[in-house]
Amino acid sequence: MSDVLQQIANGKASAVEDCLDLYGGLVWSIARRFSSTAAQAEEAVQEIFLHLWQQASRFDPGKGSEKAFVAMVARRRMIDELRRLENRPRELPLENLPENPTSRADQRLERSLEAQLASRALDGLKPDQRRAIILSVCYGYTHAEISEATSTPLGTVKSYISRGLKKVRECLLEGKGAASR
Amino acid sequence: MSMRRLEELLILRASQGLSLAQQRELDELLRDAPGEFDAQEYEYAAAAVEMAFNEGQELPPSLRRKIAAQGQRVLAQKQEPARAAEASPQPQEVSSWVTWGGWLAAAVVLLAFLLLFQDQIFEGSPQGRDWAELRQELLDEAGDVILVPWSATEDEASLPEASGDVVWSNSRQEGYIRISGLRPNDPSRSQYQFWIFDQLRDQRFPVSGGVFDMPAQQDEIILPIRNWLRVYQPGMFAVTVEQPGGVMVSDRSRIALLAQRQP
Repeated sequence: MSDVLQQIANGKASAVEDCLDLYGGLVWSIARRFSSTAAQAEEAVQEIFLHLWQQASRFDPGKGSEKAFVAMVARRRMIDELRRLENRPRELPLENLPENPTSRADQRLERSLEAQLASRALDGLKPDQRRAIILSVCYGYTHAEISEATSTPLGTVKSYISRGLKKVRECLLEGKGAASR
Repeated sequence: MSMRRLEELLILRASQGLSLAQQRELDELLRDAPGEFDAQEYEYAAAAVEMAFNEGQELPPSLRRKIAAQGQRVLAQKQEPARAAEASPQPQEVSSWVTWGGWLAAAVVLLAFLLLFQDQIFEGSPQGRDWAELRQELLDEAGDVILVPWSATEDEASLPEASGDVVWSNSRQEGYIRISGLRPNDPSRSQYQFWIFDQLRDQRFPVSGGVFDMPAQQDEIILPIRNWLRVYQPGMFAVTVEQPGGVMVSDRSRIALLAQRQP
Protein backbone atom coordinates (compact mmCIF):
# COMPACT_ATOMS: atom_id res chain seq x y z
CA MET A 1 0.00 0.00 0.00
CA SER A 2 1.37 3.41 -0.95
CA ASP A 3 2.31 5.93 1.71
CA VAL A 4 3.25 8.67 -0.69
CA LEU A 5 0.77 11.13 0.84
CA GLN A 6 2.32 10.55 4.24
CA GLN A 7 5.71 11.27 2.69
CA ILE A 8 4.32 14.46 1.17
CA ALA A 9 2.91 15.43 4.55
CA ASN A 10 6.38 14.87 6.02
CA GLY A 11 7.88 17.17 3.42
CA LYS A 12 9.82 14.53 1.48
CA ALA A 13 10.61 16.21 -1.81
CA SER A 14 11.11 13.02 -3.83
CA ALA A 15 7.54 12.01 -3.03
CA VAL A 16 6.25 14.69 -5.41
CA GLU A 17 7.33 12.73 -8.50
CA ASP A 18 6.10 9.48 -6.95
CA CYS A 19 2.72 11.07 -6.29
CA LEU A 20 2.50 12.25 -9.89
CA ASP A 21 3.53 8.79 -11.14
CA LEU A 22 0.80 7.18 -9.08
CA TYR A 23 -2.04 9.64 -9.38
CA GLY A 24 -1.27 12.11 -12.17
CA GLY A 25 -3.16 10.04 -14.74
CA LEU A 26 -6.11 9.46 -12.44
CA VAL A 27 -6.53 13.16 -11.69
CA TRP A 28 -5.95 14.21 -15.28
CA SER A 29 -8.56 11.83 -16.66
CA ILE A 30 -11.13 12.96 -14.09
CA ALA A 31 -10.42 16.61 -14.84
CA ARG A 32 -10.49 16.02 -18.58
CA ARG A 33 -13.81 14.21 -18.45
CA PHE A 34 -15.44 16.89 -16.31
CA SER A 35 -14.03 19.84 -18.28
CA SER A 36 -15.12 21.16 -21.63
CA THR A 37 -11.63 22.34 -22.55
CA ALA A 38 -8.09 21.15 -21.94
CA ALA A 39 -7.23 24.57 -20.48
CA GLN A 40 -9.92 24.22 -17.83
CA ALA A 41 -8.71 20.72 -17.05
CA GLU A 42 -5.12 21.91 -16.69
CA GLU A 43 -6.14 24.66 -14.31
CA ALA A 44 -8.19 22.24 -12.26
CA VAL A 45 -5.42 19.65 -12.06
CA GLN A 46 -3.01 22.27 -10.75
CA GLU A 47 -5.47 23.29 -8.06
CA ILE A 48 -6.14 19.67 -7.12
CA PHE A 49 -2.45 18.92 -6.67
CA LEU A 50 -1.88 22.16 -4.81
CA HIS A 51 -4.56 20.97 -2.43
CA LEU A 52 -2.87 17.58 -2.14
CA TRP A 53 0.58 19.02 -1.49
CA GLN A 54 -0.82 21.05 1.36
CA GLN A 55 -3.51 18.74 2.71
CA ALA A 56 -1.82 15.36 2.35
CA SER A 57 -1.82 14.97 6.13
CA ARG A 58 -5.62 14.85 6.07
CA PHE A 59 -5.55 11.46 4.41
CA ASP A 60 -6.88 8.83 6.82
CA PRO A 61 -5.92 5.29 5.76
CA GLY A 62 -8.71 3.96 7.95
CA LYS A 63 -11.30 5.37 5.57
CA GLY A 64 -9.98 4.18 2.25
CA SER A 65 -6.94 3.95 0.03
CA GLU A 66 -4.75 6.84 -1.00
CA LYS A 67 -6.01 6.47 -4.52
CA ALA A 68 -9.63 6.77 -3.37
CA PHE A 69 -8.72 9.85 -1.33
CA VAL A 70 -7.08 11.47 -4.36
CA ALA A 71 -10.07 10.59 -6.54
CA MET A 72 -12.39 12.04 -3.91
CA VAL A 73 -10.45 15.30 -3.74
CA ALA A 74 -10.39 15.54 -7.53
CA ARG A 75 -14.12 14.84 -7.85
CA ARG A 76 -14.94 17.46 -5.21
CA ARG A 77 -13.00 20.07 -7.10
CA MET A 78 -14.58 19.17 -10.41
CA ILE A 79 -18.14 19.05 -9.03
CA ASP A 80 -17.54 22.43 -7.44
CA GLU A 81 -16.43 23.79 -10.79
CA LEU A 82 -19.36 22.26 -12.67
CA ARG A 83 -21.91 23.68 -10.29
CA ARG A 84 -20.31 27.08 -10.66
CA LEU A 85 -20.63 26.91 -14.43
CA GLU A 86 -24.16 25.63 -14.51
CA ASN A 87 -24.95 26.94 -17.94
CA ARG A 88 -22.21 24.99 -19.58
CA PRO A 89 -23.18 23.45 -22.91
CA ARG A 90 -22.48 19.75 -22.64
CA GLU A 91 -23.90 16.74 -24.36
CA LEU A 92 -24.50 13.58 -22.43
CA PRO A 93 -22.42 10.73 -23.86
CA LEU A 94 -25.34 8.31 -23.79
CA GLU A 95 -24.02 6.25 -26.67
CA ASN A 96 -20.42 6.07 -25.54
CA LEU A 97 -20.52 5.17 -21.90
CA PRO A 98 -17.66 3.01 -20.71
CA GLU A 99 -18.34 -0.69 -20.60
CA ASN A 100 -18.74 -2.55 -17.36
CA PRO A 101 -15.17 -2.75 -16.06
CA THR A 102 -15.59 -6.26 -14.67
CA SER A 103 -16.00 -7.50 -18.22
CA ARG A 104 -12.51 -6.27 -19.10
CA ALA A 105 -10.44 -9.18 -17.89
CA ASP A 106 -7.18 -7.51 -18.86
CA GLN A 107 -7.80 -4.71 -16.40
CA ARG A 108 -9.13 -6.69 -13.46
CA LEU A 109 -5.77 -7.37 -11.90
CA GLU A 110 -4.56 -3.82 -12.27
CA ARG A 111 -7.47 -2.31 -10.40
CA SER A 112 -7.47 -1.60 -6.72
CA LEU A 113 -9.63 -3.52 -4.31
CA GLU A 114 -12.01 -0.57 -4.00
CA ALA A 115 -12.43 -0.35 -7.76
CA GLN A 116 -13.11 -4.08 -7.94
CA LEU A 117 -15.66 -3.87 -5.14
CA ALA A 118 -17.39 -0.98 -6.85
CA SER A 119 -17.44 -2.91 -10.12
CA ARG A 120 -18.98 -5.87 -8.39
CA ALA A 121 -21.65 -3.68 -6.84
CA LEU A 122 -22.43 -2.09 -10.20
CA ASP A 123 -22.69 -5.55 -11.75
CA GLY A 124 -25.82 -6.18 -9.76
CA LEU A 125 -27.57 -3.06 -11.03
CA LYS A 126 -30.01 -2.82 -13.88
CA PRO A 127 -28.56 -1.16 -17.03
CA ASP A 128 -30.62 2.02 -16.54
CA GLN A 129 -29.49 2.29 -12.97
CA ARG A 130 -25.86 1.73 -13.87
CA ARG A 131 -26.12 4.36 -16.59
CA ALA A 132 -27.50 6.90 -14.12
CA ILE A 133 -24.64 6.21 -11.71
CA ILE A 134 -21.99 6.56 -14.41
CA LEU A 135 -23.45 9.79 -15.79
CA SER A 136 -23.67 11.26 -12.32
CA VAL A 137 -20.45 10.05 -10.74
CA CYS A 138 -18.09 9.84 -13.69
CA TYR A 139 -19.37 12.77 -15.75
CA GLY A 140 -20.82 15.07 -13.11
CA TYR A 141 -24.29 15.45 -14.56
CA THR A 142 -27.01 16.54 -12.19
CA HIS A 143 -29.93 14.30 -11.47
CA ALA A 144 -32.19 16.71 -13.37
CA GLU A 145 -29.93 16.65 -16.43
CA ILE A 146 -29.90 12.87 -16.44
CA SER A 147 -33.66 12.78 -16.03
CA GLU A 148 -34.16 15.03 -19.01
CA ALA A 149 -31.62 13.38 -21.27
CA THR A 150 -32.80 9.85 -20.58
CA SER A 151 -36.52 10.67 -20.36
CA THR A 152 -36.62 9.12 -16.92
CA PRO A 153 -38.66 10.65 -14.08
CA LEU A 154 -36.47 12.69 -11.75
CA GLY A 155 -37.57 10.66 -8.73
CA THR A 156 -36.50 7.47 -10.48
CA VAL A 157 -33.08 8.91 -11.32
CA LYS A 158 -32.59 10.02 -7.71
CA SER A 159 -33.61 6.60 -6.52
CA TYR A 160 -31.25 4.85 -8.98
CA ILE A 161 -28.31 6.91 -7.84
CA SER A 162 -29.15 6.69 -4.17
CA ARG A 163 -29.61 2.93 -4.20
CA GLY A 164 -26.55 2.44 -6.37
CA LEU A 165 -24.26 4.44 -4.11
CA LYS A 166 -25.67 2.72 -1.04
CA LYS A 167 -24.87 -0.60 -2.61
CA VAL A 168 -21.32 0.46 -3.45
CA ARG A 169 -20.86 1.80 0.07
CA GLU A 170 -22.06 -1.49 1.58
CA CYS A 171 -19.68 -3.46 -0.64
CA LEU A 172 -16.79 -1.24 0.38
CA LEU A 173 -17.62 -1.59 4.07
CA GLU A 174 -17.92 -5.36 3.74
CA GLY A 175 -14.66 -5.50 1.82
CA LYS A 176 -12.93 -3.39 4.42
CA GLY A 177 -14.30 -5.61 7.18
CA ALA A 178 -13.13 -8.75 5.40
CA ALA A 179 -9.69 -7.29 4.82
CA SER A 180 -9.25 -6.42 8.47
CA ARG A 181 -10.27 -9.90 9.67
CA MET B 1 -36.57 11.89 9.47
CA SER B 2 -33.40 13.89 10.05
CA MET B 3 -31.27 10.74 9.63
CA ARG B 4 -32.95 10.06 6.33
CA ARG B 5 -32.40 13.63 5.23
CA LEU B 6 -28.80 13.49 6.38
CA GLU B 7 -28.13 10.43 4.26
CA GLU B 8 -29.98 12.00 1.34
CA LEU B 9 -27.74 15.06 1.50
CA LEU B 10 -24.58 12.98 1.81
CA ILE B 11 -25.56 11.05 -1.32
CA LEU B 12 -26.42 14.27 -3.10
CA ARG B 13 -23.05 15.76 -2.16
CA ALA B 14 -21.23 12.68 -3.43
CA SER B 15 -23.09 12.59 -6.72
CA GLN B 16 -23.82 16.14 -7.85
CA GLY B 17 -22.69 18.53 -5.12
CA LEU B 18 -24.73 20.74 -2.82
CA SER B 19 -26.07 24.24 -2.99
CA LEU B 20 -24.97 26.62 -0.23
CA ALA B 21 -28.33 26.15 1.53
CA GLN B 22 -28.02 22.38 1.34
CA GLN B 23 -24.46 22.53 2.62
CA ARG B 24 -25.60 24.58 5.60
CA GLU B 25 -28.38 22.11 6.26
CA LEU B 26 -25.93 19.21 6.07
CA ASP B 27 -23.53 20.95 8.46
CA GLU B 28 -26.35 21.39 10.99
CA LEU B 29 -27.49 17.78 10.69
CA LEU B 30 -23.95 16.50 11.10
CA ARG B 31 -23.50 18.71 14.14
CA ASP B 32 -26.71 17.38 15.67
CA ALA B 33 -25.89 13.76 14.96
CA PRO B 34 -22.19 13.26 15.51
CA GLY B 35 -21.03 9.74 14.72
CA GLU B 36 -24.26 8.64 13.06
CA PHE B 37 -22.65 8.63 9.66
CA ASP B 38 -19.12 8.86 8.42
CA ALA B 39 -19.62 12.03 6.39
CA GLN B 40 -17.18 10.87 3.72
CA GLU B 41 -18.39 7.32 3.13
CA TYR B 42 -20.56 8.19 0.16
CA GLU B 43 -17.84 10.33 -1.34
CA TYR B 44 -15.49 7.37 -1.01
CA ALA B 45 -18.12 5.19 -2.65
CA ALA B 46 -18.36 7.62 -5.57
CA ALA B 47 -14.55 7.72 -5.76
CA ALA B 48 -14.50 3.91 -5.96
CA VAL B 49 -16.96 4.02 -8.87
CA GLU B 50 -14.75 6.60 -10.53
CA MET B 51 -11.71 4.36 -10.01
CA ALA B 52 -13.54 1.40 -11.52
CA PHE B 53 -14.12 3.28 -14.74
CA ASN B 54 -11.08 5.51 -14.78
CA GLU B 55 -9.04 5.12 -17.90
CA GLY B 56 -5.92 6.75 -16.45
CA GLN B 57 -4.81 9.02 -19.27
CA GLU B 58 -1.26 10.22 -19.05
CA LEU B 59 -0.68 13.66 -17.58
CA PRO B 60 0.70 15.97 -20.31
CA PRO B 61 4.48 16.31 -19.73
CA SER B 62 4.51 20.12 -19.63
CA LEU B 63 1.69 20.19 -17.09
CA ARG B 64 3.41 17.52 -15.06
CA ARG B 65 6.61 19.58 -14.92
CA LYS B 66 4.65 22.61 -13.79
CA ILE B 67 2.84 20.70 -11.06
CA ALA B 68 6.04 18.99 -9.90
CA ALA B 69 7.78 22.35 -9.58
CA GLN B 70 4.81 23.70 -7.67
CA GLY B 71 4.93 20.66 -5.37
CA GLN B 72 8.64 21.13 -4.69
CA ARG B 73 8.06 24.75 -3.77
CA VAL B 74 5.18 23.91 -1.45
CA LEU B 75 7.19 21.25 0.33
CA ALA B 76 10.23 23.49 0.58
CA GLN B 77 8.14 26.21 2.16
CA LYS B 78 6.56 23.77 4.57
CA GLN B 79 10.04 22.72 5.62
CA GLU B 80 11.37 26.20 5.98
CA PRO B 81 8.53 28.54 6.88
CA ALA B 82 10.82 31.08 8.44
CA ARG B 83 12.98 31.35 5.38
CA ALA B 84 9.92 31.53 3.19
CA ALA B 85 8.59 34.43 5.20
CA GLU B 86 11.89 36.25 4.89
CA ALA B 87 11.87 35.66 1.17
CA SER B 88 8.63 37.55 0.63
CA PRO B 89 9.52 40.08 -2.04
CA GLN B 90 9.09 43.82 -1.90
CA PRO B 91 9.17 44.46 -5.61
CA GLN B 92 8.36 47.61 -7.47
CA GLU B 93 5.64 45.86 -9.37
CA VAL B 94 4.24 42.57 -8.22
CA SER B 95 1.40 40.33 -9.14
CA SER B 96 -0.15 38.26 -6.41
CA TRP B 97 -2.73 35.76 -7.33
CA VAL B 98 -4.89 33.67 -5.14
CA THR B 99 -7.47 31.01 -5.53
CA TRP B 100 -10.72 31.37 -3.69
CA GLY B 101 -12.41 28.09 -4.50
CA GLY B 102 -14.80 27.48 -1.67
CA TRP B 103 -13.57 23.98 -1.24
CA LEU B 104 -9.99 24.99 -0.62
CA ALA B 105 -9.01 25.44 2.96
CA ALA B 106 -7.79 28.83 4.01
CA ALA B 107 -4.34 27.43 4.55
CA VAL B 108 -4.10 26.33 0.95
CA VAL B 109 -5.19 29.73 -0.21
CA LEU B 110 -2.58 31.37 1.94
CA LEU B 111 0.11 29.10 0.62
CA ALA B 112 -0.95 29.58 -2.97
CA PHE B 113 -0.82 33.29 -2.35
CA LEU B 114 2.73 33.12 -1.07
CA LEU B 115 3.89 30.84 -3.85
CA LEU B 116 2.28 32.65 -6.68
CA PHE B 117 3.31 35.92 -5.25
CA GLN B 118 6.89 34.80 -5.57
CA ASP B 119 6.28 33.29 -8.98
CA GLN B 120 4.94 36.39 -10.56
CA ILE B 121 7.34 39.10 -9.62
CA PHE B 122 7.27 41.61 -12.38
CA GLU B 123 10.51 41.43 -14.30
CA GLY B 124 9.82 43.67 -17.20
CA SER B 125 8.08 43.02 -20.47
CA PRO B 126 9.15 40.07 -22.63
CA GLN B 127 11.87 40.40 -25.26
CA GLY B 128 12.34 44.08 -24.74
CA ARG B 129 8.86 45.03 -25.88
CA ASP B 130 6.99 47.41 -23.67
CA TRP B 131 3.59 46.79 -22.21
CA ALA B 132 2.02 49.55 -24.28
CA GLU B 133 3.07 47.78 -27.46
CA LEU B 134 1.75 44.43 -26.23
CA ARG B 135 -1.49 46.05 -25.13
CA GLN B 136 -1.96 47.54 -28.60
CA GLU B 137 -1.20 44.17 -30.16
CA LEU B 138 -3.90 42.58 -28.05
CA LEU B 139 -6.36 45.28 -29.08
CA ASP B 140 -5.52 44.73 -32.73
CA GLU B 141 -5.46 40.96 -32.79
CA ALA B 142 -7.83 39.51 -30.19
CA GLY B 143 -11.30 39.10 -31.61
CA ASP B 144 -13.01 39.17 -28.25
CA VAL B 145 -11.08 42.00 -26.66
CA ILE B 146 -12.99 44.42 -24.44
CA LEU B 147 -11.95 47.91 -23.38
CA VAL B 148 -13.53 49.27 -20.22
CA PRO B 149 -12.72 52.83 -19.04
CA TRP B 150 -11.88 53.60 -15.43
CA SER B 151 -14.02 55.93 -13.33
CA ALA B 152 -12.56 57.88 -10.43
CA THR B 153 -14.07 57.44 -6.97
CA GLU B 154 -14.20 59.70 -3.94
CA ASP B 155 -11.24 57.96 -2.34
CA GLU B 156 -8.34 60.31 -1.68
CA ALA B 157 -6.04 58.11 -3.78
CA SER B 158 -8.02 58.90 -6.88
CA LEU B 159 -7.57 62.32 -8.48
CA PRO B 160 -10.66 63.79 -10.17
CA GLU B 161 -8.97 63.48 -13.54
CA ALA B 162 -8.11 59.81 -12.99
CA SER B 163 -8.52 57.88 -16.22
CA GLY B 164 -7.34 54.92 -18.24
CA ASP B 165 -8.86 51.59 -19.05
CA VAL B 166 -8.80 47.85 -18.74
CA VAL B 167 -8.18 45.83 -21.88
CA TRP B 168 -9.04 42.16 -21.63
CA SER B 169 -9.35 39.14 -23.91
CA ASN B 170 -11.17 36.17 -22.47
CA SER B 171 -10.00 33.72 -25.10
CA ARG B 172 -6.37 34.63 -24.49
CA GLN B 173 -6.83 35.21 -20.77
CA GLU B 174 -4.64 38.22 -21.27
CA GLY B 175 -5.14 41.85 -20.44
CA TYR B 176 -3.60 45.18 -19.46
CA ILE B 177 -4.50 48.05 -17.19
CA ARG B 178 -3.69 51.61 -18.17
CA ILE B 179 -3.96 54.15 -15.39
CA SER B 180 -3.27 57.81 -14.87
CA GLY B 181 -4.46 60.09 -12.09
CA LEU B 182 -3.75 57.88 -9.10
CA ARG B 183 -1.75 59.44 -6.30
CA PRO B 184 1.78 58.05 -5.93
CA ASN B 185 1.93 55.58 -3.07
CA ASP B 186 4.59 54.76 -0.51
CA PRO B 187 5.07 50.99 -0.99
CA SER B 188 6.15 50.60 2.62
CA ARG B 189 2.74 51.87 3.76
CA SER B 190 0.26 50.80 1.10
CA GLN B 191 -0.02 49.42 -2.40
CA TYR B 192 -2.67 49.34 -5.09
CA GLN B 193 -4.37 46.06 -5.94
CA PHE B 194 -6.29 45.23 -9.09
CA TRP B 195 -9.38 42.98 -9.01
CA ILE B 196 -11.58 41.25 -11.57
CA PHE B 197 -15.20 40.56 -10.69
CA ASP B 198 -16.08 37.41 -12.59
CA GLN B 199 -19.84 37.05 -12.99
CA LEU B 200 -19.53 33.30 -12.87
CA ARG B 201 -17.72 33.37 -9.55
CA ASP B 202 -18.84 34.27 -6.07
CA GLN B 203 -18.92 38.09 -6.06
CA ARG B 204 -17.54 38.18 -2.55
CA PHE B 205 -14.29 36.82 -3.91
CA PRO B 206 -13.12 38.68 -6.99
CA VAL B 207 -10.04 37.39 -8.77
CA SER B 208 -6.96 39.30 -7.77
CA GLY B 209 -5.18 40.88 -10.69
CA GLY B 210 -2.01 42.11 -9.04
CA VAL B 211 -0.40 44.51 -6.63
CA PHE B 212 1.30 47.55 -8.05
CA ASP B 213 2.72 50.96 -7.22
CA MET B 214 2.10 54.34 -8.76
CA PRO B 215 5.52 55.98 -9.13
CA ALA B 216 5.74 59.69 -8.39
CA GLN B 217 7.58 60.50 -11.60
CA GLN B 218 5.18 58.75 -13.93
CA ASP B 219 1.92 60.18 -15.29
CA GLU B 220 0.65 56.93 -16.71
CA ILE B 221 1.34 53.28 -16.09
CA ILE B 222 0.49 50.25 -18.21
CA LEU B 223 0.72 46.87 -16.57
CA PRO B 224 -0.17 43.34 -17.59
CA ILE B 225 -2.94 41.49 -15.78
CA ARG B 226 -1.58 38.25 -14.43
CA ASN B 227 -4.66 36.44 -13.22
CA TRP B 228 -3.73 33.08 -11.86
CA LEU B 229 -7.32 31.91 -11.85
CA ARG B 230 -9.19 31.66 -15.12
CA VAL B 231 -11.64 34.49 -15.67
CA TYR B 232 -14.87 33.42 -17.32
CA GLN B 233 -17.16 36.43 -17.53
CA PRO B 234 -15.65 39.68 -16.28
CA GLY B 235 -18.30 42.16 -15.25
CA MET B 236 -16.38 44.77 -13.33
CA PHE B 237 -12.81 45.73 -12.47
CA ALA B 238 -11.56 47.63 -9.46
CA VAL B 239 -8.40 49.05 -7.92
CA THR B 240 -8.26 49.10 -4.14
CA VAL B 241 -5.74 50.50 -1.70
CA GLU B 242 -4.33 47.73 0.47
CA GLN B 243 -1.55 46.94 2.87
CA PRO B 244 1.91 46.37 1.32
CA GLY B 245 1.90 43.11 -0.58
CA GLY B 246 -1.85 43.13 -1.10
CA VAL B 247 -4.52 41.01 0.51
CA MET B 248 -6.31 37.80 -0.30
CA VAL B 249 -9.76 39.25 0.33
CA SER B 250 -10.23 43.00 0.32
CA ASP B 251 -12.49 44.70 2.84
CA ARG B 252 -13.12 47.22 0.03
CA SER B 253 -12.89 50.10 2.43
CA ARG B 254 -10.75 52.02 -0.06
CA ILE B 255 -11.76 51.67 -3.69
CA ALA B 256 -9.68 53.98 -5.84
CA LEU B 257 -10.95 53.14 -9.33
CA LEU B 258 -13.84 51.27 -10.86
CA ALA B 259 -14.43 50.04 -14.39
CA GLN B 260 -17.91 48.72 -15.02
CA ARG B 261 -18.46 46.73 -18.17
CA GLN B 262 -21.60 47.81 -20.01
CA PRO B 263 -24.05 45.01 -20.86
